[in-house]
Amino acid sequence: MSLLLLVVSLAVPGVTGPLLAQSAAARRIAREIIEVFGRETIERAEPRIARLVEEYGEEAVRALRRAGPPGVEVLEKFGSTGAKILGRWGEEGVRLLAVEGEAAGALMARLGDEAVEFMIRHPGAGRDLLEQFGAQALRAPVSTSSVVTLNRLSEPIRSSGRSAEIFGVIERFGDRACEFLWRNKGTVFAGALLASFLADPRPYLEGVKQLVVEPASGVLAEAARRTNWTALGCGSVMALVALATVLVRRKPAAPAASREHA
Amino acid sequence: MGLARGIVAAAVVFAGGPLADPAPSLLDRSLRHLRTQNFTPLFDVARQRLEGHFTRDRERAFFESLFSLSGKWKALSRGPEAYDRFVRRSFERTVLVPDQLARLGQAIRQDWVFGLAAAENRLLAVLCEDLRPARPELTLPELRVEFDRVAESLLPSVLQDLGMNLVSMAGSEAAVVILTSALGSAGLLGEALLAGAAGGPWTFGVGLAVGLLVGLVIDCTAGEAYEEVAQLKIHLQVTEVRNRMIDDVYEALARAVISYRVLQERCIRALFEGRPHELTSARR
Repeated sequence: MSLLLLVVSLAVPGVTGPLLAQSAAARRIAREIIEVFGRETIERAEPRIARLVEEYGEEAVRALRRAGPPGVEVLEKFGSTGAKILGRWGEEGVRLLAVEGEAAGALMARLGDEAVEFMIRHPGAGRDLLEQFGAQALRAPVSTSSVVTLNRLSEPIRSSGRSAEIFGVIERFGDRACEFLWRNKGTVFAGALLASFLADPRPYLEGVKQLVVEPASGVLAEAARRTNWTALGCGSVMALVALATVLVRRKPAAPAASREHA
Repeated sequence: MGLARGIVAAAVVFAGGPLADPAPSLLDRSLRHLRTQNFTPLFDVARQRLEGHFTRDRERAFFESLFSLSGKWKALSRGPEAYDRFVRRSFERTVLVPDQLARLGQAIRQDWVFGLAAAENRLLAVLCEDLRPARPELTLPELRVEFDRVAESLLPSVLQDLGMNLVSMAGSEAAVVILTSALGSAGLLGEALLAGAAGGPWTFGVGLAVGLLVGLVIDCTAGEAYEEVAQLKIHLQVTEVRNRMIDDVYEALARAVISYRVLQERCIRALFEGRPHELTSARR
């Protein structure tokens, strides 16, 4: 690399001067970093670090200083996102990237620093929840057990179509809300009950109000509200007309046949 | 003939079972999830951490302490045992650096705890789902408490079956106890840690490896070898020590992973067979 730069700089000195200076600076920083955490094969490590410094600049320097030797492989694998994670979270970042892989980098790129904090706070489960609900899940002040619970409730939450409001309640009430959702998973996601719970969750969480499926009022009223009565009416009329037509055509056939026999 | 064909065709149609495999049981589903867990990244990070500890600077400092005037004088004036002690101390002070080695051990332990926590959180989600038909009211926090209790009950027998010594560490999670026991069984822990002090230093079993160095250094100083040759030999030997440490840590981690998997499998079976209550009541 240096040789190439040297050749090019001889040909076009004005253009490549800064490049050479940059390369030299990268090598100097690489050497400094190696002095800090070192490697047995210094000759082999230096070009790798210099290349990382050249490519990612100050970010790589900060990342390598914080994360130490494992940072080299992480940076080579995860690039700029890896550098950002290591620069801020050091060893915890190494751990996260080792366990969660590229998904952690992708979530950081999509959702920012908060996503990394969330994944570090909730190993394994945090990543799964963020992949499903993104930024909605980030502000949930819940324990890791609740994050696992929410992962398990992801299907009904998503199909309810009101995940943003559900996560709003979880943001306000934390683990209590998650536990309530889990305990009442069979009923709470029904339209009317969910609406009632989301409108005022506190009485439900405090046990003042119970989730009761009332056949004549709650669920049926919701079902009645959602029904397209016009379509149902038209369909019924058409079915009745068709039935009547069949019956009318069938009736005269029988006496005619009996007359022929006679 | 036609009748015979008809009988054969009917037998094939009516007696033959479904061609597809039967759906796996819920227990099998949980066990299958357990077997797909991947712990190889933990090995890679441990290797990177250990490699990064050994630097040329440290080697140089070690070499200088041995081949300085005072070092050479010690080689000539002291007896073999006293010189052996001097070389070991120099190696520990310049290359191993106990404080940094302890920090390294702590980092590897934290990597392990994080990796296993991630795997366990995912396993518990699957397990809770699979246990739901039998225990619909079981919540995840309750399952976690139950799982931990069962794991604590079964851990001694698992380690015994795998030929490892249990390192008793009050208040520690099963994952930490397993790693510590695996490291202890591989000879990588100091006596303080084996006695139950979780934060104690790791020795990485370097005591044995340093023995090789002592002989080499004595040969180099007393055998009139050129210093450049001695330096190269020491470099090779330090690299050997490093590789040996990595191998030992790999072996310990492999033992720990196997133990952890066996423990989890037994816990899952116990939970499915409804034995946790017996286990926990027996403990009380």
